[in-house]
Amino acid sequence: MNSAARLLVVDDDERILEITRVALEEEGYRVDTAQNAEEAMERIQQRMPDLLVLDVMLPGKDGFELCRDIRRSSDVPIILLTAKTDTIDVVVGLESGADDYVTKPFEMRELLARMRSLLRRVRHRTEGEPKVMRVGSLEIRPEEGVALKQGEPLSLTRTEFRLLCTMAAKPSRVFTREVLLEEVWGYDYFGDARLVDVHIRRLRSKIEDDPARPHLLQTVRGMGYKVAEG
Amino acid sequence: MRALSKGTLRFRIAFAFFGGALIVSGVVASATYLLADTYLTRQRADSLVRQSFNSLRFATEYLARPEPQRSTDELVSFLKARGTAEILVMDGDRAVASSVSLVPAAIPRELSQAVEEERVAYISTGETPRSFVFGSPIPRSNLDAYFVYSLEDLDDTLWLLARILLGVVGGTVLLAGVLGFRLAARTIEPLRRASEAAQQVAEGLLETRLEETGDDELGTMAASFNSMARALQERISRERQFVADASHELRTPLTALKTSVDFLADHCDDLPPRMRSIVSLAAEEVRSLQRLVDDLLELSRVEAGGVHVSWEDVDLGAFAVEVARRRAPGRPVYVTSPDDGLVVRTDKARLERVVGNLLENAIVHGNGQDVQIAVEQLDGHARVMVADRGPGIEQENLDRIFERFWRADQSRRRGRTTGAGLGLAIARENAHVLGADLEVESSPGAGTRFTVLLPMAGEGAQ
Repeated sequence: MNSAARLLVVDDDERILEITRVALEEEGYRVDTAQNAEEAMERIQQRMPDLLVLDVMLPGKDGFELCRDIRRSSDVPIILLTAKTDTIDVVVGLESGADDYVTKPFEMRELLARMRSLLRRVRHRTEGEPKVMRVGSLEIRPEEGVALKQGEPLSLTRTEFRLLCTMAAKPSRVFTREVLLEEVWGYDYFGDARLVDVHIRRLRSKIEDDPARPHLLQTVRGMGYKVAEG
Repeated sequence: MRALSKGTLRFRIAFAFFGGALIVSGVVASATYLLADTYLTRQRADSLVRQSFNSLRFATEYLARPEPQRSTDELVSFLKARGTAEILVMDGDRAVASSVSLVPAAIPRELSQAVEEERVAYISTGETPRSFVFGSPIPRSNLDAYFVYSLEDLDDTLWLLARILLGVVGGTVLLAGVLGFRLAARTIEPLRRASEAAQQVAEGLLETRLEETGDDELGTMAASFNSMARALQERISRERQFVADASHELRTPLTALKTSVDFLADHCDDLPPRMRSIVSLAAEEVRSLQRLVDDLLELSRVEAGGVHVSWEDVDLGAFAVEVARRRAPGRPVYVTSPDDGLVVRTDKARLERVVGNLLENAIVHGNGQDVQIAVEQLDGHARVMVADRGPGIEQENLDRIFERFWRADQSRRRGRTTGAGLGLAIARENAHVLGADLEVESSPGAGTRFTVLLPMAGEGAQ
C-alpha cells in the first residue's frame, strides 16, 4: 500500500533521521531526508514530496518558518514533530499551516497512522458526494479539489478543503469537534480539539468576507460548527 | 480559630485605648473639678468673711448711734437692707431673724459654741444647697450676730463645670475608642495580610509577596517574608527545572532508542527465536521508560503551573465510556451515568489524565474483579467515582498514595502492569488544574473508591 508515496523527513538529529528512514522504508515508502530548512527547500525544489514530516526544532530557520515558506507555494500535507503538547507550540505549528502534529518521542505506529490518514485523504475522496456543492457565494467541486469564491479559486490546503467538503456535504448539520476529528483527521474521541479550532479559523480567514463575524462557517456554542444553509 | 484570635487582638488594642483614655481623662477631669471647687469656695469664703466684718462694723456703728435705743428687730432690718445675707441676731435666748426659716437650731453647733465663747467663727455647711455661716458677738453689745449666705450660685457653677467635664470625659473616651479600633485595624491589617500570604504560599502560590511599605517593624517583617518566599520559590523552581531539563534531554536519545527497538520488535520474525523474547522485553522496558519520562515531564509542567487548558463542554457519561474503552480495553468496567447526560465545562484531555489514571490504578489493584465508574450530579458539582473491589489500602497510607513513586507494597517488584507510581500524583495535579477535588476512601478487604468532584462550569473555578 502507498508504495509510490514519497516522503521528506526533516530533523536535525542524524540518529532519528536514520532510524526513521529505515522504519518508513520498511513500510514501503520512499524517503528523503534533510537536516535543516535550506536542505529541505532544495529537496522540495528538486521534487515535491507527497508528504512532509517536519521537526519543529531545527538549527537556523525553525520548523514553523519552513512550514510557512512551503505553504506559500504548496498544499502538500505536513506533519509537525513537536516536543511539547502543553505549550503554544501546537497552536503556532497549526497556524503556520501544518495539517497535523505528533509529539516527540513519537510512536512509529502513531506517526504511520497520521501519515496514512493524510495520504488517504489526498488520494481518495469520499464517494457519494455531489459533483458541485454551493455554500453562499462558495462553489466546491470535490472531485477536482477546487473551491471557488465568486468565481475566483481559493488557495486551501488539503485539510482545509477536506474540512470544508465534509461540512458542506451536510449543510446545517452541527458537527462536534469529535466528529470532525474523526471524519477529517481519523482521530478517536481524545483527539486534540485545537486541530479543529485552528483549521476552522484558517478556513474562515480564506472564505469569509469578515472572519471576525463568520456567516458561512458558524460556531454553535457548546456544540461545534456548522455550514450555513443555502 | 484564626479569625477569633485576630478579632481578639484587635479588640484588645481598641480596649486598651478606651481604658487609657478613660483613666487619663477621668483623673484630669476630677483634678480640675476639685481644684475649681477648692479655689472658688475659698475665694467666696474670703469675700464673705470681709462682707461679714463690714456688716458687723455697721451693726456696731448702728448700735453706737446716740439716738434712742434701737430694738434688735430694727437692727436686723437695718443689716438686711445692706447685705445679701440672712441675719440671725441672738439677744441672750431671744432670737431675731431676717427670715422665718432661719431658727437658732439651723446654726451649726460648733459655730454657736465658738460665738458663745466670744470668738468670731465661720463655717461652710456641707448640706445642699450649701451655705456659708459667719458668727460673731457684736462688739460693745451683748448681742451675737450670725450671717447666713447661700452658696447656691457657687453650687450651680460647679455643677455646670462637672457636667462639662463629664461631657469632655465621655467624648474623649468615645473618640479614643473609635480611634483605637481603627488604629488597631490598621495595625492588624499587615499581620492579617501576612498570615493570608503565608497561607497562600503553603497552598503552593509561591509568587505571593507582601507590600514592603515603610522601614518600620512591619516593613521589615514584610521584607523578611518576601525574601523567604523568594528563596523558597527559587529552590522549588530550580528543582522543577532540573526535572524538566532532565526529562527533556532524555527524550531525544529515547526517541531514537524507542524507534529502533520498536522496529526490531515489529520484525521479530526475521530474528533468531532465542532473541525474540529479549527484543520484546527490551521494547517493553523502553515503553515503560518512555512513560516514566513523559509522566515526569508532565508532572513538572503541571506543578510549575501555567499549563494550557482547552475548556469545552464534555458529556461525562460518553467521556467515561471512551476512557474505559481506551485505557482498559477488554477489561470488565461498568459505567453508570444519568440517562439525560451530564455536561460539564472542562478539559477533556486533562480529565482523561485524571479518570484514566484512576481507572488504570483500579484495574491494577482490583484483583481482576470488575471496576465501576459512576457519573452523577451532586449539588452544583459533577461527581465521577472510580471504584475497585481489590484489597483496599490501609488507613494510614491513604494520605500517601498521591505522593510520587509511592507504592502500596513497597517491597513488590515492579511488574508489567504497574507504572512507576506517578499515575495518582498526575491525576491529582490535573484535577487541581481543572478546579476539581480528588478524594479517596478505602476499606481494607472491600476495595478503594476515588471520587473526582468537578465544578459544573470549570472556567469559573479558575
